[in-house]
Amino acid sequence: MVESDRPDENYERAVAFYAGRLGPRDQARVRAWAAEEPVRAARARRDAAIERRIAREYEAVLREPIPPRLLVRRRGHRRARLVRSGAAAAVVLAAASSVWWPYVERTVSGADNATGFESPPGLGEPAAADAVPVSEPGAHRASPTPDLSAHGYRLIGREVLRDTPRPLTELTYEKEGGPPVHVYAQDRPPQSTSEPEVSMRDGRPLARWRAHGVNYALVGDLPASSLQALARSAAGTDDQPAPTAQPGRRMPPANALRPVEAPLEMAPPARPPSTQPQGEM
Amino acid sequence: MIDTDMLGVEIPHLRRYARALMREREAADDLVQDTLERAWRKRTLWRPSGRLRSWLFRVLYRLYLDRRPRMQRAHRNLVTLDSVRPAAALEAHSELSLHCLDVFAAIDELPDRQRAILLLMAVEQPDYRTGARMLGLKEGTFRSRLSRAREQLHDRLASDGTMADSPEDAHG
Repeated sequence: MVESDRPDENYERAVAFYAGRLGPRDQARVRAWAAEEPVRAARARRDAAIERRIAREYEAVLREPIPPRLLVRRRGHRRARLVRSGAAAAVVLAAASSVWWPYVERTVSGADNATGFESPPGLGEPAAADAVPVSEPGAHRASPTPDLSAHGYRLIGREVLRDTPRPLTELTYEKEGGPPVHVYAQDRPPQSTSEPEVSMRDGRPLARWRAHGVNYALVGDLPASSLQALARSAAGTDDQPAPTAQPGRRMPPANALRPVEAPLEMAPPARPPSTQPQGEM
Repeated sequence: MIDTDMLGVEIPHLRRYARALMREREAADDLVQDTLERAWRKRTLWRPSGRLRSWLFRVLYRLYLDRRPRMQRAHRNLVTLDSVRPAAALEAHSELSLHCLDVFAAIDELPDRQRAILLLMAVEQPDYRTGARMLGLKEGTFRSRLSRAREQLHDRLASDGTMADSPEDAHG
């Protein structure tokens, strides 16, 4: 049989019938055909039995836990959610600093703020594909990157959310044993500076400050006092010197950062951390 | 736009088909991981009007065909744990299990493209149109290859004397 040959439709229908895939409407036709062609009908029955056997052999795979390497970071998920949320961009359109914060809240609100990783699928590092390097031609000027290493946090990701009228940079920091925190930065001339202020929004603390013509917001599952201390460090207004990386400069590698000297008081994570039961998508 | 939740729903199905194709857990998960990575990179190419599962299976099938020759070379020298069945299970249902092993051995000898279609029909049970989409084929080509796969499988099993009805065949 050459590839363009038409296969025997009656035979195909019979296999589908014996495999249980045929609708009731065609079943009478198959029975009539099987009465006329008992040998071929028997063969169709065997083909269907082989299919069922194969299906049974691999049925259990559907219930197996999904290996961690097929799971992805949450950041890609967050951005995808953001893309779907046209309302968020609409808030930014207002462009006044007073409405920037609600936008940040919306960006990080819900269940996708705290633990940093979640189950979905397997792109070892999907966020990398999603992230836009700030040095990319045409990308907006990079906002200065706050350095939280004095509190044991290291920068693990920078992502420019370009689906907004004015690019918003999300910086994700992580420290061992604690939930990640996120800093959101958005250029907002003119140059001015303000000290970090912590306010409660929907029961969650949010620190915001302004430096070098950039609005910053810091969120994370931390007590307000810890968040304020972290924000003061990030803004360079605490007792310790808090270096701020210049645009375009790479952050030092994680192992070059200082160890934690005085760990912040950590709030319990809102959700169990990342490595969720596999398979629960 | 594809998001990770949407991909996550499809992972078990991708893993099942990949396991059927590769017959080993690790190799199958490698294939799924490569599929997901490629799908994510190319996610803008997917149109919501199409079924995501079909698109992902198409990606997986292409990758499978790309890497299959390398695998076959490796298989000549390797016996993996997944391919070794517990002796107890064999003893418990010796006749049926032996028959089953023969069937899978015969399937493994089919040409890759035919084998992929036969396995897809078995594990996903799509209609022909959907099945063809899942592998990026024309429906006629899909049906033709499926028909040839069945034909060849039947011939191989018949020549091995395995084609006698097993007890479960009778339930048809």
